[in-house]
Amino acid sequence: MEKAQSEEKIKKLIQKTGAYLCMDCSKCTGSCPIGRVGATYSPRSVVQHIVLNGGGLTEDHLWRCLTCGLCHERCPADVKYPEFISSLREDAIARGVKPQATHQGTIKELMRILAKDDLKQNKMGWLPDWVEVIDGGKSKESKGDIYFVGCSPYFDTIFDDFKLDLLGTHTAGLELLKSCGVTPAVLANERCCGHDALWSGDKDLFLKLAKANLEIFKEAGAKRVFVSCPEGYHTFTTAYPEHLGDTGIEFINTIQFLAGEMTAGIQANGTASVTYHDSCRMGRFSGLYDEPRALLGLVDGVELREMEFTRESAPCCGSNLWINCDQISRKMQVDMLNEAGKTGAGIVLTSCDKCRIHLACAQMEMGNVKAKIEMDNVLQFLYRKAVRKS
Amino acid sequence: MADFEPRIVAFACNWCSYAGADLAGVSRLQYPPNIRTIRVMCSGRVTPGWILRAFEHGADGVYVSGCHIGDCHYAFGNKMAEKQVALAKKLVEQLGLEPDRLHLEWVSASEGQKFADSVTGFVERIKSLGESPIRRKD
Repeated sequence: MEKAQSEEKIKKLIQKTGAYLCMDCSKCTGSCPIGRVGATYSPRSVVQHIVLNGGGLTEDHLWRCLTCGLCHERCPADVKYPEFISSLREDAIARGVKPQATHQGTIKELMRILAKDDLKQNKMGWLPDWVEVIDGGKSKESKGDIYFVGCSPYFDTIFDDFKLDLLGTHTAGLELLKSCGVTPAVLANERCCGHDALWSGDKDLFLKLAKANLEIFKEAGAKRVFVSCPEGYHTFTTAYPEHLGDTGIEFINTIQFLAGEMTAGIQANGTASVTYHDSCRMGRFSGLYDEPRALLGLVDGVELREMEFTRESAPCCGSNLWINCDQISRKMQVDMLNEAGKTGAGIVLTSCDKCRIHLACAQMEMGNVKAKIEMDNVLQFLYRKAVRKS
Repeated sequence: MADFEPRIVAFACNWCSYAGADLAGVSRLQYPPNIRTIRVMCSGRVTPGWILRAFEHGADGVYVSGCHIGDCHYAFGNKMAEKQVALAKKLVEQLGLEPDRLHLEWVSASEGQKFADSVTGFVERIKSLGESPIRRKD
């Protein structure tokens, strides 16, 4: 019975993701960043195996995929491979197969605790003074504008050694929004957005987190929610409506919003040459390629030097969902940093702080990155180097 | 909440603290039965993930114990434990639990009395803090 159910589910997902349209061209395998650094991973053969056998994937094949979406970008038949593999994971988790969590499961457990009902979090101590923190009840001054912080306070604690100032991204985001006349409030008890749970196949956990978040947003009377994290933005705008119907809330990417609002000729304090890394959730998944570049273009004295592979072809930062980090991830990270170094830019910017964590980890542990390149978030860079006069 | 009996997960290292707990037992020292002891090879093996998992599964407190600094069977495992527990404490606080629900204690194999005393003290402390807010309702 259970087997029949599972087979039925897999049949459905083959149709839903268009996997039956696969024509064996192997463009996906050729472009897969995992294949590029030497591991034997082939999206084509995974699709073929599932279409022919209806299941029976090895665990390595199941969890290895980073869901970076480069295969889907290149696929001439538009097979949605990231959705395909995450649905297979959902099926596997229902059967009790679990991925190998990184960081000894710390982050996975955090997500589970964040899905609990009676939670009173205590993570907003770092906010600028003017930001209103709503803990239950409606927002008084923000007129329905909310800023979603997400997991950064926890990551800032866990990755304290990296000295990345992950909270600075949100301070910068909030201050930049304020400079455009928007003063959003922050919710004390917002949860994890559920991105990692969803893509690693733990749909129950995702739904719990998503429902808790929507409840909190609605209680606060949220009309617009600003999100700086690309993963959060993509999850709110696509996965929430898909799984829970129309949310009635407008989710806005902070960078996209700022690119529309801010005007040219921002005076920079000093010059800088930078390069920009398109993270998967910002670029391929949300289509926001030009906005961060436009924002950087506004600042006088900042020169943007593009890497060889950017935009739709941007490489992956090597790790995702806090599962399966190994030598292959490391190789990808080192390659990426070396690519960034080749541009001659002093700073590599990204919009995704998780990319920053993964790349900093590579820089710190390996020491074999040829170019010692600095890393920063677009928002932080903009705020520190250009807007704030220090 | 007069009848509140805390559920406490205690990690004890194989070489010192578990033997210390054993000594407390064979010496017939009395301590409250609220701890569920898990033997680990080294306190350095106890990660923030495990500690959070214990809380997630409804523990009211987590007690980690290992060899005294300088006495670790693996040279520096307890130094790691110190770091890991400090990190877990910060996370526990951010999650809105009292950081006092997590306790690190060095107990050697000869310190049966110390083990019994520190567990008694910890159970008292958790009793005064009350039930963990994220304790499972079942």
